[in-house]
Amino acid sequence: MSKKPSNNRSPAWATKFLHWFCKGELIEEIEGDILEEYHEFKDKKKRWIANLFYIYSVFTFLRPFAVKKIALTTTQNNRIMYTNYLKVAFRNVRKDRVNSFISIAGLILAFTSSMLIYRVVQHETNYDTFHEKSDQIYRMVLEAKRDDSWKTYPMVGPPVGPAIQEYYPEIKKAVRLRYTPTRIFSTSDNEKQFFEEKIFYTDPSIFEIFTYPFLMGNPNSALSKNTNVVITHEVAQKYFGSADPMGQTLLLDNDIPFIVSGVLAPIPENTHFKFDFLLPFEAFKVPPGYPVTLDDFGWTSFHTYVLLEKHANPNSLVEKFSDFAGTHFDEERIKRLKYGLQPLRDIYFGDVKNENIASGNKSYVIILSSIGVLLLLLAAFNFTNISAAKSLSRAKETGLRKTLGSTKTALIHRYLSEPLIINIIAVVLSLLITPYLLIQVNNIFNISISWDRGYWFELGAIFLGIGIIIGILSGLYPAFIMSSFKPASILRGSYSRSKGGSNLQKILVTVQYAITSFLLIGSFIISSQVDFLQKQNLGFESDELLLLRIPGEELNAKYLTIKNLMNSNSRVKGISVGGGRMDGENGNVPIMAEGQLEAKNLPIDAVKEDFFSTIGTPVLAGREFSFQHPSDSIDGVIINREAARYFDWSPEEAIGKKITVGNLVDGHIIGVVENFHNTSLHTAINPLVICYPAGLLEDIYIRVAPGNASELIEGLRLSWNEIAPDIPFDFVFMNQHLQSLYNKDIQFSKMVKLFAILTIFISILGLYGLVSLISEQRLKEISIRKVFGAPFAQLILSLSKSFFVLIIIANIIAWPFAYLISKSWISEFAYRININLMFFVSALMITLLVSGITLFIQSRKVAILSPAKTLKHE
Amino acid sequence: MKGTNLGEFEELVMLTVGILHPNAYGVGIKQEILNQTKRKVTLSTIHSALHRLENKGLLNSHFGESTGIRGGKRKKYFTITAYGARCLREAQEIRQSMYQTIPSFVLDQA
Repeated sequence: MSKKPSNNRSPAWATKFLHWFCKGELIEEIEGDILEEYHEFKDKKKRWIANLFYIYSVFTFLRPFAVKKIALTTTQNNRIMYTNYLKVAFRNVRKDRVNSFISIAGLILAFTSSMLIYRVVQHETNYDTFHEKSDQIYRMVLEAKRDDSWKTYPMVGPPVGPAIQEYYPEIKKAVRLRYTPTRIFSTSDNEKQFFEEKIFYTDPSIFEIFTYPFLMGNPNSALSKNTNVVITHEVAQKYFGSADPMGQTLLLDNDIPFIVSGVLAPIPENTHFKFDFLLPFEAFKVPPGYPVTLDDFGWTSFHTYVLLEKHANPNSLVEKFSDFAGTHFDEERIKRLKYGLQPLRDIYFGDVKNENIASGNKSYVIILSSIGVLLLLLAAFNFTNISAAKSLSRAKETGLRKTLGSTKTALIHRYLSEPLIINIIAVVLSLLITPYLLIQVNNIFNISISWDRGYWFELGAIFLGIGIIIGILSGLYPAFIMSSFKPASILRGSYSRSKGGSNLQKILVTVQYAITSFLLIGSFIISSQVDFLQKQNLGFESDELLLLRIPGEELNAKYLTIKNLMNSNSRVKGISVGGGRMDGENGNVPIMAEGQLEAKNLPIDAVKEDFFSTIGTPVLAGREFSFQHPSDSIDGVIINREAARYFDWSPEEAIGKKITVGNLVDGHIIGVVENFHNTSLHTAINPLVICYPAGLLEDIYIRVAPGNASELIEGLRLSWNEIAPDIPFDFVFMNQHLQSLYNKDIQFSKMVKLFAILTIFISILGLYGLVSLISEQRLKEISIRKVFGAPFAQLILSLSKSFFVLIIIANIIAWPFAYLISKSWISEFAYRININLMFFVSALMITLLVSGITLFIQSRKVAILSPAKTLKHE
Repeated sequence: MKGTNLGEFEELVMLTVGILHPNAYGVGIKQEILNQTKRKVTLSTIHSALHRLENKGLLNSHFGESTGIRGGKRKKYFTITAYGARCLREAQEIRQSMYQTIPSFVLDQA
């Protein structure tokens, strides 16, 4: 192109691009016209707009009439040869439909499963990474010495955040979050009213530390007034629908008005703390009855996050923390307490669990990724086996090509082209299917993993790489074997399967079956463990037990009214109040019991009258709190059987023993109850001391008679509205609630089961293809055996015998691995099943049975052929 | 292409080439279409139509003078061929005759 007048300064690359794609005979008029328009435009508008317009115009000419024909017009020999390879490859794919289908289907299964696993693992391992400064954000933790070990708590006192930011220059910003469970929010006209769980009081610095983009409102001023509230997009829709939420009023507990000052854009699903409402920290008031103030460093109930300076070293900072602790803790406490920092990105998989914070299980992620890799291996082995077996049938073609002067390299290329094509097709199809499958997976496992266009490229790049590697590896063996055959002997028909080849085949089949059995055994053990957890005797009757949650003050004020009203329903069999929903960690308090030398820290719980008869836990000795013995509520203490054992008493001996529970109760034991699980089954039963509640409880337990649930609930809701119209009727059945504690385990077990089934399927597909090829190659042998009078059963056996041996060997190889790995997984649970031989034997039986059927179907096809026909063949 | 059927846009381009005769070229046609019909079309659309019409034998083309503003590129002028003129006339006549067979009250309601 000629560099012409000085006023011609259109973007050069766009012109080059035009020259590259445009037909030579059209270029002059097109370029001239575009330039003419460009100059006209430039005089009227800004330069960059004109440039943009120029580029746009160039791109609009990407139309069939103007684009060069990109055809293989060169007559180079190589080009023609490679097109021929492609053509032959495609023909082969089409000719042997069954085997091509098996290969592609097996690969697609493996690719889509690994793509899904990749997304799941990516989701799990990228918790909180969406915050721009996520590598500078740390959570303050408090480590406390208990007996001889240190335990980490994720919360610190309310003054720590502001004070530590002042104390260390390395700390740029700090934010406190105070979790507030179960409050009622309503619109000012009371039209919409809901119980809300995810409410945090927080400092305005939250928006400087974390990345929460605002849809509406200004992050700098959103929390500046203590009557403001920032809500998420979902909440805005829930309360205000399509109306503008900004400036609207939300009533907290039907009493305190807050004005919406900001709406946040949807927050990515993978964040360890989820919230719906952010209230200004200034609006937080110490709940009545709490013996603490906001200046109390010992009130460790505040999540505190700090943003460090860019190059600050967190480790050296933590070492200096004892100075800071010295400003408010005395020497005695510093020996038992120290502050620490936990990187934001480590929180999700960290050990510190807390009910309002999501936590993941690293071993699940590791197991899932390994399954993904195993699946890919399986598919690769399968594919190699089939293409190796298949290549033999192409010996003649090779001989002919060689005779006609094909070089060894050319032949290797020719044999690589086919597996490459199949793999690339499989990857592309898998990429198309995966997003759709992800939706299904989300539904099945009740998770929400997103998909956007970026993942096409990411997964496409990774899996095309994997596909090409599998293609090359699986093509290499046949390529080298075939290309080294002597053409004369091939064409004469006297080639045979090499010893090395069938050994490789045997090894691959064995490894493949070892992987299959390993995953099968694993999935059996995992699903029986999860079933076991769900069927575990909890020590109370979780069916037909209803839980109602209401704010503590309301419960205190209205409990008797509620109780009487509920009792008037004929299906209510019992009602009481408990300190939680059998799901959390209990507080520990020093307990001094009669006959003990020193106080021991033990978990405590609080319940009201008739609790144990309501939940169905037997009282072993003595009595529980009841209205007949009002004085028990002052000095009565109940312990569980484990606590009695801990103090070395029989249940009967325990009754009447003196016991001091922290500074809560100084009294005597009135009852011993059977052990029951008040935490998830991941932890074992501990000694438990139960008092009459001194503070506020919020969970009502209602025992109901079996029958129509929705009818019952409607009845209860009506009575509820009579006594507490301003409080939502927030109920859940105990067994449903407990189920949610094991959601992660159930999801995981389902996923492993699914993938184990897939592996069997892939293995069987491979076996099917392999046997069909082998029996075809052994057609002559079988026919001759038949001529000499071999019975049908013997023919089948001779074809499938070697496979059975391999499958049994494979199972035995898989057993020790499966045993060790399941054992280490299962040891995470406090209550676990015994790993017995049944799991292993059933995996063996299943693989044998399914493979047996496949082998039979395939070898039967060959065995029933008439020898006259098959021997006539050549 | 079957018959002499002209697409709506093709007819528009043909008419414009006729109006601008003998100075019809890409940018000029685009301007004229904008002036006459207030339709904004891209250059590539015009070029594509021009080439289609030329391939059908309805238009002829020849290169003209070059100007500095066009980076030294020559303009390509299009003229209507005899066959093109016939097609245009036929299209016009078919429309006219069809238009006249529409009952007058149908047209009056607008």
